[in-house]
Amino acid sequence: MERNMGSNKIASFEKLVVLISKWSDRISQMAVAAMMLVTIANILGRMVWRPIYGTFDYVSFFSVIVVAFALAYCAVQRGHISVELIVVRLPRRVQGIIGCFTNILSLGIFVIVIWQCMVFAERMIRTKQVTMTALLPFYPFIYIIALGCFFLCLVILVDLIKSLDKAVKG
Amino acid sequence: MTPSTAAIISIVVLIFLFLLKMPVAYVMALVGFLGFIWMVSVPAALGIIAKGFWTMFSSYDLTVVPMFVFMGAVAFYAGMGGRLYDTAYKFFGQFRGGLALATIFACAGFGAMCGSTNAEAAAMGKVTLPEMKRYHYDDSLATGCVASAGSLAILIPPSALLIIYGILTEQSIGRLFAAGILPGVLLTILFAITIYIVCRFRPALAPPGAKSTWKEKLTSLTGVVEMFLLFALVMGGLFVGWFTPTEAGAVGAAGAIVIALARKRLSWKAFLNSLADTTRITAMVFLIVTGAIIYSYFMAVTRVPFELSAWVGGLGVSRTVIMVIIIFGYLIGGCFMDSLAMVTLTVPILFPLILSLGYDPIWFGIIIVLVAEMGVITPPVGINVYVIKGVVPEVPLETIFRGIFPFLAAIMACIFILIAFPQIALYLPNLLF
Repeated sequence: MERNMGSNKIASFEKLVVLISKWSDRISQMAVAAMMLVTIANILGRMVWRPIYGTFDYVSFFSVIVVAFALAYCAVQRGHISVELIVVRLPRRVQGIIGCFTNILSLGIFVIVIWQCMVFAERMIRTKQVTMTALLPFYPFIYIIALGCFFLCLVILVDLIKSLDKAVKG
Repeated sequence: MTPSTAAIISIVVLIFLFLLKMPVAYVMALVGFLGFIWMVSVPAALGIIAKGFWTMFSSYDLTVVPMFVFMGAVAFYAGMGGRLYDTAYKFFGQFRGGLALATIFACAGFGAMCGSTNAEAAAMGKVTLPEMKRYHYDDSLATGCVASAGSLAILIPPSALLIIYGILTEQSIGRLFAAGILPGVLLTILFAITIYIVCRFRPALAPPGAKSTWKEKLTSLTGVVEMFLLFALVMGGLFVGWFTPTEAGAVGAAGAIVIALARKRLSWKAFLNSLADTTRITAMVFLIVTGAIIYSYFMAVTRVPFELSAWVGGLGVSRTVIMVIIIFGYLIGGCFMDSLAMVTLTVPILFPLILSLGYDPIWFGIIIVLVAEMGVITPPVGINVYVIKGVVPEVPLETIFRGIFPFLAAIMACIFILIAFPQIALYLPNLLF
């Protein structure tokens, strides 16, 4: 009974994480469209009148939004390249143990990324750094990378819990 | 511990973690970070993490990836591959082996819209395989042909792999794209010759298809003409300097949307699917390049790439022999690893060596693409073969792998021709830039 409740909780946590990553991916999709539109508008603008000031900055920042917000859902879809050759041939329990190990390492590196992005963003706030032409502040976009990596960490965490379950139950 | 020992240990750890199915991008970032701690210091290693993620994610140069991926995705969902195949079919279908020839030419055409091999294999597989089945083509030839020809997508511009190579080695994307065109044509011809030879010796494998009149042939051209105009605008604009690569990609994507809407081939759902594919592939590519950059920071402080190039340079072996060894290494590596991952991992290590041997970096980019093309079709992890298997689940994997061998030989022939005549790759970029 207790075990069932536990697995229910895990299932609803997983649902929540998938939902979050899906919505963040939608923001990313909108940023792709925006990136294309700004670029086209800039080309048309410079042909008929004048270019859009700061296009370069806008496109770079849309790129941050596209990538950061797509990381998690890409991981949900197993979109990040990995070598499956060996592990799929191992018994379930061993797969679970290996999964625990690699997911902890993965969590570790992305927690460091989040932490360092926060540190970096704070430094940017302190030094009031802005882009050259559009004069946009850098820091919100660095926080976006941290947020995107946080969503990715949630996906890895779900994977870790599942691997633990596999390792214990076989 | 000497820096070289640290580098070698890092490679062992890297391969170990790859084999444990940890995503390649995560592994490269992690090992690069740990290596940097070992070689320099903890604060320095923490510093390169934020720097690596920020500079890559906000890199204007890399924004060319989502734009061209979007263009390819729209072309995919709008069924442009099908129209190219219809036209090629009308022209070649009636000959023995003609359906396979049409597949090759349609793939080459679709490669001009799409920069990813598995997307192309999926798109063209769905269109061409039912037709070849209908005319009783041998399964092995049909599947091998479309799996191999799908790889033309990364040679004929736009090409995701050439973009990534350009970013990692700081080469012009425009020059790289220009360099891909003639070798792309050459490989298409070599694939066609392969089919001719196969049919010559075993005519039963590829019976002729339906005949079409000249009127039908000519009308079918109207279905593809706008795609070639778009390609000409995108690449022409890039080559003459109207557009930056990102702008060329944006024009391509917008153009593909306009064409698809005009032909009433792009539903709202298909549009959303193209966006979803774009974000997935973009996230994958950016993260893997970021991982590779962090790992290459570490490799640079070990100085191994430079020592390697000095060491090989001191061996006194002819540079062609070294190139053949490198290509052979990629061929073996490509059997076990995803081509994109392998390229991002190895190019920063090998690049100084290539330069010191006096090879042109643009030419080497094309060679890298060709070895990657072999990697996507060689067993046991040739991704295109699995994509095709997904399209025709009833055909056994072994049958498909058997079918790719003649085409693998064609790619190898292409590599050797390019080693003997580097001008084939370098003529256009030198002419245009």
